[in-house]
Amino acid sequence: MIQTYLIHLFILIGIYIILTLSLNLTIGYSGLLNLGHVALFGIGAYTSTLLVMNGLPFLLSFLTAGILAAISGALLYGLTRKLKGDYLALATLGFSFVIYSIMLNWIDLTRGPLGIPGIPKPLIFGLTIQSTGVYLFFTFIITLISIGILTLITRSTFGRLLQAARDDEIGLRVLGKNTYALRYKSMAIAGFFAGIAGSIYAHYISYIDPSSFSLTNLIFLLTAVIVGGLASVRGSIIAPFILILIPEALRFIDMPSSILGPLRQIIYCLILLVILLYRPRGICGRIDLQ
Amino acid sequence: MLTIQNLSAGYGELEILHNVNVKVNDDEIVALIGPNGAGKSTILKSIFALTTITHGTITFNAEEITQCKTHQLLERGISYVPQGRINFGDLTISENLAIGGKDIVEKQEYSERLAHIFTLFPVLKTKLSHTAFSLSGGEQQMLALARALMQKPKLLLLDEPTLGLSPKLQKELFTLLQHIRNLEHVSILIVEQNAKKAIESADRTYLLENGSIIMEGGKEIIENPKIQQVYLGGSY
Repeated sequence: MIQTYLIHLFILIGIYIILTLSLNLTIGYSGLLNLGHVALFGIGAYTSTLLVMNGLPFLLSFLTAGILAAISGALLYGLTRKLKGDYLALATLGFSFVIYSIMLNWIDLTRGPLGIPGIPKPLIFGLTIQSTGVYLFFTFIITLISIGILTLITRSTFGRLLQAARDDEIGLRVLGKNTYALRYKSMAIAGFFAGIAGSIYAHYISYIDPSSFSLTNLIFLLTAVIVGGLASVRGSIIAPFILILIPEALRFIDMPSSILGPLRQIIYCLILLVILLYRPRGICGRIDLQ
Repeated sequence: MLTIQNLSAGYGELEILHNVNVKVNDDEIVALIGPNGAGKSTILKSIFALTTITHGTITFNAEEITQCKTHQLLERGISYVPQGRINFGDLTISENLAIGGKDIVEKQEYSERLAHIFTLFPVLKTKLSHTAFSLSGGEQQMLALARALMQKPKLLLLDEPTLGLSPKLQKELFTLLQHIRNLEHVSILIVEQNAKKAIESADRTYLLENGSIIMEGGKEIIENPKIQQVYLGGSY
């Protein structure tokens, strides 16, 4: 029993590592306070679910989920590219709410608040991933590949230019670099990884409804990025472990569930507060929150 | 080398420059001085396609560049160092320089260029892995200059490079600029607050007021009563 439980936790951690790391690419490396990430996660989850349930092979749906979320990410940046700081944050938050409303109200497509149950397990090369152990292996591989690709991106010239654009946009533009093009790419890449994370999530949980992609989840992702540290790959890998495992420890304390839920929220707040007070750059962050 | 003819430009509807004529010859240091809001920086920004040009032309080496995009200007050999020691604070010195020289494809050429830059700015070589943020004011200005020089410009546009530097560092910077001009054969168009220093160091100086050029001349204009009165406190 305990084994299944641990496997469950590690699958979630894997999914959240991909989400946190890709969100960090836009917030930490590109300096775009993007609050639309959870919507891209949702777009990925719904795309993959709907395509598989309409007969498309899993791998194709998985990739389409990533690509559609990438296009949405680029589109979101296209709409908000003239905005900065708080305004950008508000506009992208608005995007999250719009997508949430679409999931909730486009009943014909998404079944609205009822959600979509019975999402099949992935079928890869004729083999269905039935056991959670194998699913963990699948998640682990995808997470490793994602970490690898995102690490390479952040260390590449492209990643350096993104950081330069974050530090001084005009400064980079007078050196003849197109900062818009850089950020389009960054948002699209982050969108792609959010999309595939959505796909892994949907096929694992086997049930999705709009509430999985709401503000609460966005706050969790933001907390993870901040706790791990802006512009730090290592931080974005460590933070999901801390934020998922610490509140889980509460399960083993004999306590009524009516207290347990709020206590979990209190723990998140405490972690965030302690980090902001004593380690404002997060666990491994290299730049300050602005 | 650079000729600005009858230029009127500004930001959107707001016209800042009216009928400005400026010329920079080969291997020449030209200074733009004038009170705040006269339009000194706007001239540099207009050359670098960062303003709305309503009238006039800008030619560079007998080629019109008024409509050129920023990267095309760089390809033609114009580099611009904006005001305020713009550096990418969280990147290291070598990363900052690499961004300046990104378009140099040949590794050999890149390292030669870098070696040459270090002869001009030896202090940068000793701090290659430091972040730009950790440098002193003067060093940050040097880094901004060095990064622009990585692009091997023929014309360097500098917007108040001495801003916030101590008088001693200001003096050193002007000496350095003359040294760079002689060594690199680069023309320099510099916007400067320190009128006296600018006139002394530059080959020619333009005085700007309310978006128009009201005086032009060599080092002798320092004797001009108006310059003495307005910029040098009359007691020079």
